[in-house]
Amino acid sequence: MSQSKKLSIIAFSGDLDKLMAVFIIATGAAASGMQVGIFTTFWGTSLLRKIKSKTKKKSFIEKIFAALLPKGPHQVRLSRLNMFGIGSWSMKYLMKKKNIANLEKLMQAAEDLGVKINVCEMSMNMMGFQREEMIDYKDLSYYGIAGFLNQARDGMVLFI
Amino acid sequence: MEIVDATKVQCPMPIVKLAQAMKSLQVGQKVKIQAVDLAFEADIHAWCEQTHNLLIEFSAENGIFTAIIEKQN
Repeated sequence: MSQSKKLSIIAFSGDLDKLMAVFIIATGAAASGMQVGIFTTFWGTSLLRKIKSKTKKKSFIEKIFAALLPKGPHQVRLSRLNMFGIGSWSMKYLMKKKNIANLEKLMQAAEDLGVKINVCEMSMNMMGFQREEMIDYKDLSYYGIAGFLNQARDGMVLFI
Repeated sequence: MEIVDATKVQCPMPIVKLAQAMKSLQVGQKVKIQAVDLAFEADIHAWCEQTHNLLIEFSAENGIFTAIIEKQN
């Protein structure tokens, strides 16, 4: 028996490349029988926003955050060689040509395999994201640090 | 025998498809999977070890890997 059957991934980054790594590892681990939880925090939280949603009133700074940060897997960008979007576009083109699953497909696979997504309440609060803005995902919940530590205990932890 | 076609996907989708196909099988039933992902040979051995399933047959021909796995649990 392997030492660890539980994997917790902290998705800190909001970059396309790093989020790809998060979801490739998460789906691979879930497909290998591990219990997997993704814990988004800071910029990673942006990935889970819907393109359109109705929200309660936001402050001026919250509106700027909301406008400047990406919404969902279509809008996240590469951490390097983005070149105003040309790099991200080229990468997506190459992935499609080479039959590599894109972030949307990986997120769908994660949902099908029962990967849990946990969203950091404090990041949401800080950036002014509201629960109404979050995507529909079967196993989505909200957490604080104690919840994360409890989930991560005795398992593998990755910070991406 | 159930057949999983993973010849049009890359890592990690072959094992994702395989795991999904395994769910509907009973212990002792077999599944055949074909893939072209170059990591598949190493991955399928690792996957079987990790999930305690039995790799009965493995072959590579014209760039296509074929594996037959028996569900053990």
